[in-house]
Parts: sequence; structure tokens; C-alpha cells
Amino acid sequence: MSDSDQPLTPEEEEVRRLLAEARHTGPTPPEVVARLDRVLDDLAHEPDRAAPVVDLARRRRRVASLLVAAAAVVVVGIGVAQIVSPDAGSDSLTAGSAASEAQDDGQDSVQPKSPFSANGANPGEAGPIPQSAPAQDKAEHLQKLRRQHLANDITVTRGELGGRNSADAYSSGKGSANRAAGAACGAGQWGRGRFVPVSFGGTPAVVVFRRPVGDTQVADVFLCGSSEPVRSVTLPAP
Amino acid sequence: MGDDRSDAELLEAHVQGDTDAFGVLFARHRDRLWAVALRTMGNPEDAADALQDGLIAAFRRAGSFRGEAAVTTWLHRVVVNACLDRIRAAKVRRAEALPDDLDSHRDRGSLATSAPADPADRALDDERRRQVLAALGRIPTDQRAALVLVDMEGYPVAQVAEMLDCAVGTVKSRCSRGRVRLAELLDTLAPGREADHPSPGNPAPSPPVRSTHPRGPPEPA
Repeated sequence: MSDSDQPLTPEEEEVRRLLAEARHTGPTPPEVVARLDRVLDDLAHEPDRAAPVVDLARRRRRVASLLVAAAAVVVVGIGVAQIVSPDAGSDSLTAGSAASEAQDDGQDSVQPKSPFSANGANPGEAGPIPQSAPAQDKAEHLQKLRRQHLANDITVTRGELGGRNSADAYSSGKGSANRAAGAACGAGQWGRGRFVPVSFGGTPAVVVFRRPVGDTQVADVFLCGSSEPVRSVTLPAP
Repeated sequence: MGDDRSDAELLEAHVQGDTDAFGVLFARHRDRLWAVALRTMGNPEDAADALQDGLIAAFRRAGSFRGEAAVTTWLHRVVVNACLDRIRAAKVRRAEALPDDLDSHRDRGSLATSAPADPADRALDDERRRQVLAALGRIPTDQRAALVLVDMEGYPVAQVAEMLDCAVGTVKSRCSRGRVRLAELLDTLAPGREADHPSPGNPAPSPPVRSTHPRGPPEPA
């Protein structure tokens, strides 16, 4: 069995045995298979869209920069809205109006842990706006997803999301929560689904709940600023 | 899958524009490639990234495959290179990467040994496997890749040499040095060498509980 020219010492034989025992014999995890399938589909049908995997550390640094920029944009946008329309007119097309719609939409309303609701208020609401809320502070208010308990945490997140589960709820871009998630995280190409801002491993992210199919529902996690899911889990349908 | 075409036929079909062929081919070898990526990278997250890198690279470079090696060897080469590139470029901290697939391992057992029925033995095996993988993450990347392919996956050295694009002697050397290093790291795993394991035999007698001072009223001064 030995491939070496010299006989192995007992210690080396023991190492070989231990390594053989530590071999991974299970199948590829379903979430990895789903991710690879998506990439493969992109490669096969839209070759230009499939991008190499972005290094996670570099992505986190970029996300932090994007988030700071997004926070600045939100603050500036709200300031402009208040200057242009001091009485917060209903025809405004600013982020403030979108957030106001979010309040009106009881079905898709974002939980208090929303990043755009530091101190529990939406950006469009009256009241003082934190002028220099650091990006990291926002992440601390998000629903936290732990890497080792991802499926469980996402199930909890879905439970807190509540609301309807009709096909309309999973339409791309519809729903105030989806718009708000896009505004906070930098609108990404996340596909159709219900978007919930979260913190994944300490990094701001969005979990996208896909429309349930049969007895299962797929949830993809995207880091802010990325259109490539970093994780994908399959849950029992709600 | 139901596709009777050989690996080489699938790869050729992919090069000729068959949009489904590569998916069939990759799915055929996916689990083994995943195992290699997982053990080389040390954790599922980096393994998934590396496997995706390898998938993309293989998809795009299929036209450069010349048939000098088996398709599966070529696929392994691409994926292993993706792993090594990722480790080198991203400086993945393998020492921190403890295996987190032990739970799923429990019910599957191992090809080498059957899973012990005793929970205590199972826990011991899990702990040993955890230490083996942690030690594996501490040896040089090239040695690790060679050991994963030769000792874990059981590929012949000649095939691994093709996968790693190096000489057979280099693979042997890497394996040998890697085993020696692992033996040092795993020294405490060897039977009877555990540092905190009590010596066999009866324990040493405990000190007497009873006071050694004579009882009774204090001696008059």
C-alpha cells in the first residue's frame, strides 16, 4: 500500500491511518450544490455574468466602505427631502418617501432591528436623524446570523418576518421591506424574493427568502454590495 | 443522472456547445471534489468558495484539456489549484479552521472504520478527528494537498503527481515530510502518550484523611 520508496515508520503508518479515518465521506452539502448550480446556470446561459468568487475578506472591506457611503447618501437624501419639502409632502420620491410607504405596508414592514431604523425610527420619519451613525453600529442592530447555526437563525428571521406568503410577496422589488433593504444595503441583483437585512458574521447582509416550492423554501444570503450569494439554505416551507 | 456518456465525451460535448454536458460531468465528480476541497481548505466556507473557483476555471478552460490525463484527474487538478491559490492569496488561517462537519460525520461513519456504538468512543473518535484535521491545517499547504489526495482520498502517487503537476518523487517527498510533521503534531494522540492521561495501573495511594496530630486536649504550656 505504501507509495514511498522507504518503509514507513510506525508513526507514519499511524498518521496514514488517522488521515484515512478523517476522510470526509459525506455528500456535498445541499446549499453548496445549489450555489454551484446557480453559477453553472449563469455560466451556461449568461457567460458574461458569471464572476469569479470574490474573496470574503476583500468583500467585507468593500462592504464596509459601501455601507459608509450608503449611510452618507441616506443622510444627504433625507436632508434634501426636508429642504425641498419641509412638510414632508407625500409626492416626494426620496428615500424618505419609500420609508414612509414601508410604514403604510403592514405586511412587509421591517422589524425594529432594521438597519435603517436606528433608534427604532425609519429615515423618513420625523425626528432627529443620527448624522454620523457608523456603519458598524448599524450592523449591531441587525438580526444576527451565525455561521454554525445558519438554518436555525434564518428560520427565526423568517418567523419574525411574518406576513403573507403569497406569490406576490416574493415578487422582485415589491414590498416596502424589499425597497428598504435595497436602500440600506445597496440594491443588488438578488433575484425575486422577500429581502430581510441581517448581519452575517458581523457583516451587513441581506437574506432573500425565495418563493416556497412544494415543501421547501430556499433562502440565500448576500453580503451587501454583492450579487453572489455567500450561503444558501433550504428550509421547510412556512 | 442517466447520461451514459463518458467523462471525455461530456467534456468534448461541452466544448462543442452542449450547455448541459458540463453540469452532468461536474455533478458526477462533485462529492469527491468537495471532499478534497473541504480537507484542503479546512472549513466548508472556504471549501465552497474554492470549489466554485474550480468550477468556473474548469468550465472556461475545458477547451485546453488535451486528453493527456483522465478527465477526473484534470478536474482534481483544477480544484486543488483553486484551493492552493485561495490559500496563498487569501492567507486562509488554517490553524483556526477546525472541522465543523463532525456532526454530519457521526451518522455516516468512515470508510476506514465503522462508527463505534458507544457514545464515549464516538466522542473520542470525533475529538481525535478534530485534532487530526487541526494538525493537518498546520502543515505547509503543498504537503497538506499531497496528503489529502494520497492518504485521505487514496489516489495513487502517480495520479496525484498529475493532479499537482509535479514529479512523482516530489509527491512522495511532500507526503513523507508531511507525515513526519503530523506525527510530531499528533504525538499526544498516540496510544499511551497522552500528556494528561493517567498512567496505567492503580493510582498512587491518597494521603491519609485523618489528622496526623495526636488527639486530645492541648498540651499544657
